[in-house]
Amino acid sequence: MLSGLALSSSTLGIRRYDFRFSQGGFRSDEIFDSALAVPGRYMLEVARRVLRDFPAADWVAVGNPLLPLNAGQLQGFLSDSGLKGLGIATDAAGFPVVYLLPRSIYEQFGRFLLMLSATDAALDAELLQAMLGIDIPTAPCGLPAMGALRPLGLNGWLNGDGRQLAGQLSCRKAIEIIKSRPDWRNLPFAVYYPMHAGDVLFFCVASKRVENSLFDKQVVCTSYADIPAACGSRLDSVPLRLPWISRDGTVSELDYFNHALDRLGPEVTGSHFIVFSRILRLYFHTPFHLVDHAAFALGDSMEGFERTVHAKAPAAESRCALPIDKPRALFHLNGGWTLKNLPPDTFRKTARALIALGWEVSVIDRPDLEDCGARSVEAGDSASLRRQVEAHHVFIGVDSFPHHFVRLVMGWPVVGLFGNTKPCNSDATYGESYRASCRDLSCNRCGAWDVCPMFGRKDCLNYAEPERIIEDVLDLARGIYGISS
Amino acid sequence: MGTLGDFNLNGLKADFGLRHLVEVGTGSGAAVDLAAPLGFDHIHSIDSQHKLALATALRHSARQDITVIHARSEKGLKEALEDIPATAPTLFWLDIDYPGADARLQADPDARLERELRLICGLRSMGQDVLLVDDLSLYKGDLAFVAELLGATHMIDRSPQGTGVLIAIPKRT
Repeated sequence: MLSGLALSSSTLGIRRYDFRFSQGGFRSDEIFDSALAVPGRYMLEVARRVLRDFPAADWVAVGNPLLPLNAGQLQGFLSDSGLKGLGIATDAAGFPVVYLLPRSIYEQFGRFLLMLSATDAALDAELLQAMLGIDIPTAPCGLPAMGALRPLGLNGWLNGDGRQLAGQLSCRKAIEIIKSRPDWRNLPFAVYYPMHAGDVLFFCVASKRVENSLFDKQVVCTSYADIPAACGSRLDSVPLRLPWISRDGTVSELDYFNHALDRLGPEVTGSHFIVFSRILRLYFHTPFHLVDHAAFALGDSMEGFERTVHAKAPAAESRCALPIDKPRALFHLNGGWTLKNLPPDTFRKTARALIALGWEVSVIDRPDLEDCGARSVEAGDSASLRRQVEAHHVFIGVDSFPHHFVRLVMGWPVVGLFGNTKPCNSDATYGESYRASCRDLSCNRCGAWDVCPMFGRKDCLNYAEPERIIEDVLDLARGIYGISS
Repeated sequence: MGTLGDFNLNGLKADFGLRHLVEVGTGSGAAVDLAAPLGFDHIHSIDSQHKLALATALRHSARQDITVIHARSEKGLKEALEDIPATAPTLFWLDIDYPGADARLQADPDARLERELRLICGLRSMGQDVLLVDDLSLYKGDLAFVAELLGATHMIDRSPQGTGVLIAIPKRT
């Protein structure tokens, strides 16, 4: 739940607004649920909606998005705090509950709200004070201390790995910049979501669809330095010369963020507002594509289905120019962790059948699977991936960077394969040149890493059986190229 | 398996005016830890094993003069050498049998060493650089390419230390 109050001195009016995190709808009281947007992004979105509905409002009070507050409660807390103007109402321990800000802040300094910690009212007041040059009071609103953040917060926020505390780090850095740089208003905003390859791509693709982006740059691990240009990103890259964060949780998000800021160094961190946009909410609770999550984080209000990936044809539609007498299929099986990999035997059976039907089959980076007649090829970066794809008629890939690049950027005919992740969060627009499959087992999405939580196996049973994959490949090849088998 | 600590690193650095260190095979990060306080302009360390690269990288994340690259050796070398002026005296610490070697090339470390060395020589003016190649006794092939690539500019020697080290130092004019 998200909420706001519009206050107008001219009409002496006050209006209440309640919103819900959208689970897939686009009703007027729903706000897109983006896992990649910081609390301040939701504050800005609430204020946008409120000011659009009540243009006469001079002030907008917004509830802390981390808390499930309705507008009635908001009004009560604000009243109990005694705040009469700009300020932050808090619980007994200084946790921010309601922000009361003049409309000019939302309109002129909107993106600076992204730097609010949303967990420390004194820190947030210091940020606003640095921006505006006036004292910003904090006032208790009668709520007892809420205690430490839970791993999964009441309003759907993740705090595993201390990730919400990263907001405090960002906020502190922002205060330092504003206090030390007279030109702070003109400094770039950089979204911090540097790893992994698919994640970088989602922001790159989203950047091309967002008008008036809140961000100018994207922090990118140098392992993926080629991706923004290959995707035609509108965000400049801030290279992060660190290996990407482990997927196994041995390094916490907060620790890695700390190291990343160290690594970027004072020259970069002193001249960029860096916003921690790692997954902050459970993205798979909604049907929204991760590109759409990124688009909201970048500033798009995402107020209609037509704004989403699933409503749009890919930016490009491309085809293989090679003769079809010997059709070629390129597979990518490595999903980044054990259960996300396509089971080798599924591939072997599929490859053998396609070869028997006259196809040439290649597989990216799996020399261990050449025993089935497939050829292993290398595609270590986006340029070599593009070259390999262009030498094949159909691409078949698991939920990983190559799949997303080949479909969302190249527009190539693709068969998507999904196992323990949900297709809707990272597939593409379905049509003649794209389809995706899984067995639709009820355990999807488990998201497990090494061992199947249902059967104890090291592979995922939700991947489609070879017959289905072959059928999809042949069907797609028939429709696109007229290849009959 | 030898370590960079087997050498008088300060002495080497002073004798040849070494300003950069490039290591292939970060491993536990011992070489980076050893070299970190010695005043190199920049240290690059490369490992294709993500966990190894990340651990050392995080240990030195605040040091702008230390870069740990998670990549296969040739890709990592290309990235590292982009940072280093072609004539800046550099110490290369290569390893024939480092655990993080790419699995496919692990089976053929000879080919990897030759490819790495050809890459390095192709990108640099080598006359000022020092090369140390560890685990020489594991090398099964013909090392003629070393003389081909470095014979004109370097004195090439073999040390029996540990599992053997190939040492190539600039010829004094």
